[in-house]
Amino acid sequence: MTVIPPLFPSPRLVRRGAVLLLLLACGICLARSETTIELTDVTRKTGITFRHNDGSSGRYYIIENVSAGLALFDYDNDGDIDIYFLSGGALPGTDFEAPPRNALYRNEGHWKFTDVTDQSGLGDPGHALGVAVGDYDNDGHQDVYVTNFGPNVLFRSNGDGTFTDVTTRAGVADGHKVGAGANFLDIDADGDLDLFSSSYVDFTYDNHVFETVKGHPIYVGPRAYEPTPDTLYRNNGDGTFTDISAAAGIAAHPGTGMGTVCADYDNDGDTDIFVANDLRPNFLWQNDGTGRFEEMGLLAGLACNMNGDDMGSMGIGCGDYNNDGLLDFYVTAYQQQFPSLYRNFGDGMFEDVTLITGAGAGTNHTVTWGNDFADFDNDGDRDLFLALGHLADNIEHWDKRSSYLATNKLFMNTGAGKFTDISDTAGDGMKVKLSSRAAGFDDLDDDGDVDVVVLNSRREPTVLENTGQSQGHWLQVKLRGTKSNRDGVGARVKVIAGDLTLIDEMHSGRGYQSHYGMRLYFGLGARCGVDHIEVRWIGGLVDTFSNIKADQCITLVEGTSKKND
Amino acid sequence: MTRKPHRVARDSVTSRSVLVCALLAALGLALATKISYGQPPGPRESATDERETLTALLDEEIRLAQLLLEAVPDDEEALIVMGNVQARHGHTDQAIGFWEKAADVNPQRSELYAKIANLASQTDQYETAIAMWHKVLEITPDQRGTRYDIANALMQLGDYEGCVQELEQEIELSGPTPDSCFLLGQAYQHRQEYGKAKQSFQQTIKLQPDHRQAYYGLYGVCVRLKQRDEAKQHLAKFKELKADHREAIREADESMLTDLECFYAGLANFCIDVQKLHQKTGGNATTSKVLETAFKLGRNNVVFLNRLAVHYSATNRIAGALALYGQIAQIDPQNASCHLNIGILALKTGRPDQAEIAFRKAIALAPDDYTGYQELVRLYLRVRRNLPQARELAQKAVDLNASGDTYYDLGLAHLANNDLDSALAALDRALEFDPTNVSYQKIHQLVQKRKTSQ
Repeated sequence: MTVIPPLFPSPRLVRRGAVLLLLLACGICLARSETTIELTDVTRKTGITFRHNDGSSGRYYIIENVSAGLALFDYDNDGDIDIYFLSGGALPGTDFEAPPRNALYRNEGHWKFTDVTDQSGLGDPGHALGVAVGDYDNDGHQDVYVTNFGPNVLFRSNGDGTFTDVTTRAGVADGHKVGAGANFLDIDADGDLDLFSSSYVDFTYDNHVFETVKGHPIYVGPRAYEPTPDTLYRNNGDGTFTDISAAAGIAAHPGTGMGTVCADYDNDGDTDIFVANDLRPNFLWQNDGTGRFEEMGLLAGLACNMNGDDMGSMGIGCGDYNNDGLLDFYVTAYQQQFPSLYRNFGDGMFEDVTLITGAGAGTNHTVTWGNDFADFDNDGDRDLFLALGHLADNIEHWDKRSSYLATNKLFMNTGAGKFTDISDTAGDGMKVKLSSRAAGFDDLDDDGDVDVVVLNSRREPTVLENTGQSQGHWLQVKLRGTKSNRDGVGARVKVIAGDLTLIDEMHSGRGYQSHYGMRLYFGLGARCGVDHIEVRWIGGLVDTFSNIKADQCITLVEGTSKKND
Repeated sequence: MTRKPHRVARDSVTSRSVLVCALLAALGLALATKISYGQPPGPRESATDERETLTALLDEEIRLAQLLLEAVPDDEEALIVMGNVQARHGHTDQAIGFWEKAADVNPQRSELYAKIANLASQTDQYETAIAMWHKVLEITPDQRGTRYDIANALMQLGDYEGCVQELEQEIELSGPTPDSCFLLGQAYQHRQEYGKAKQSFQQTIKLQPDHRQAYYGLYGVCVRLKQRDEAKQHLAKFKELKADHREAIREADESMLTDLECFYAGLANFCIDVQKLHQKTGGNATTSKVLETAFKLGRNNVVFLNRLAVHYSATNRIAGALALYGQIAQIDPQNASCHLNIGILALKTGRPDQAEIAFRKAIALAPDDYTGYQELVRLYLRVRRNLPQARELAQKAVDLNASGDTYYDLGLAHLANNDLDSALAALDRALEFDPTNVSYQKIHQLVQKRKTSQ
């Protein structure tokens, strides 16, 4: 088997050093302790000066309040995870010294980041909304697709930390829409990444709707505009794409897309697409394996909440919260609507289990956005982080129940199918009160646990270091496709460690119009090693790797296991 | 979604300004200076105007409530009025504070705890809400609906066992309702007791055949019970009802009250509250003054007058209601529903001629609305005149809105004209709409009997 050794020594491992090695040498694993999760706000020490701008000038365009996503990825292939923030652009009526633009920060280690926007060429000044990262040309360097209000942009990595705008040649500008979530995925198992681009509503400056409540100007909802169909591009393999939305079945269903995720919900080996629609039924596009899709949202129980009502769906989290081997979904929503945790029953059906699991308590007063499952305490089950904040900057004036600024939420998975709200005790990072939108989850300091980056509307971002004292073991997995796409997007990974079986999947584009998680994170609790890892690549090849030590980040290469099933 | 739904495009800015100007001119308030009479204002300028106007009106309402409170500081009614005003203005904590004070004065007023509970539940404070509803039950153990409210809050807290217990008690006390059966179904569904959930959803539909959510619930539980074919049928019905619901939402968006209209609807409630206090205090100077001022504020507003008129009708103050509808007719002569209500109230007070005139006006103003024809048919049948015309009008009502009731009226009109075959045919159609309707059945039997005896 080919398991590429860890790129970095874990600082935490180093800290634990002698004691851990001694215990391991004796064959003794650390007992699973009562874990606490602590997220510490380290924004100030990062050196990040980015400040999100939504382009607002009091005109209350609908495209202002929905921005924006962020991306966590290794832009320069140096092994650590860098941060790309999206920003709104200079909309009519705004007055800037320098137009706002997206910003890229290079991870220098030890929570220091350097602004490399100018050098990289990623400082696009468009009104950015969503982002996905994927190596569409399989050259070993990750490329970036940004959805805008206006033409979208595809940046091809030159492999040296710089990017080139190849949108026109690639043919993926997607007209002049209000962009939303985007995803790279291999729809037809041909080894290259295709592209899904969601869009929100048919807004133009000319059809802008201005309204007031109690005399206060407001952002109207998506019902004020016509919905728009999403777009699916097939990768031609030569640096160009073809719009196959109509042939694939996508174009027939206009929606109000926001967050999107591409995941194999039905375990049939191909990648399906789940789209959160704002105040319309969510779409679940079931792939037939050849790149033709059928909309299954209502049949699968994912289109609406438990009352059959359309939700103001925002972001989508995807993960196996109850370790039953099936991917579940979490969809955030508008004020006075519970976000929804959809449990996958494995028979093509999901059930809204939000209330019984407690996975949404205390969020009714405001809007929920970025979210995802992550095992913050490495105890073997996935916790849940939600980014909160109202979209109306004057909400307090006309609805005293709510507030524009809000603290985010952290729910700890109890391991018994329930979540407990631990936001108040989970560190100063959970006390930051801003109007959050996107959230990304990755191990930014390579210490084995998952950290968080939050994009806040009109403000600086929040960078949260996971400083919890969990003693749980962990494993991080990167994938390298050889026949399938190079980053293994769409591949399903199953980790078996004694009595614990975990699954995850490589996704490009997720959460709230964001991208993160090109390493897969597995918390192992007291288990100090993994018996088997099974990787099912897109295309059907299955690799099995055995006897993997815990507490490392490994890269698994397609076709290199001892035995291919 | 509480992001303000889209309203149908109308020149709301201009119409609101005109409305406000008229009101303020009538009152002679200094506020009028804030309204632009010149060029139509741009959206933001207009929003500012409206905000300032509303703020001034809301301040005035608060001032009046404070005046009451100063006059009768420890009066529970005055405290309630103050709490109501604060709640309507979105001042949740203040509202709860006043209601708590009122409860201190009179701890036996269960509706105060219910008010506090409702506000608490709106702000995610379910434990507080449940405690308050329990207080309601301590005072009035048989209070209908309270156990449903508790069950709903327990549902939000994920306590399905408690939810089921409360609902079972509620159903035992008040009988099954669509709401209680549906919530019970959801609770069972979450407990994965799918058989019981299915029964509850089915019961919901029995009570309310167009219960959209119950069909969605049935779809889910049938899938879990592996009854796929049945599940598909329920899903199809759900889709059909959902399409209707979307249309209803769209229409509701269109008919949403403007901000100023909302204020006037609230002002009417304020007047009703103050009237109660006025009666209780024997009409003292302060309550008289407050009432007079509040009426002045609303006297030219249709929403205000209409709310009051509906209240007067419901509390059997027919003369007062008629006077208010008369005022509305003067302000808005094209208001068809106002004339319809005048007709109904006139008939109630034994003035069929006045009623006939009003119904004919309503029909002339809204010829596509079946209700005017229906009321006129009922009038003619009641006073036994213009019977051939009644039959034509009844047919028109059926053409505009085929329902059990309109067919029933048509049957009665045919009967009044001694056309038994047509009467029977119409009553057959009415029974198709509502086979269990006792009135339909009785008349149907009567007609059949008469026909047999001929």
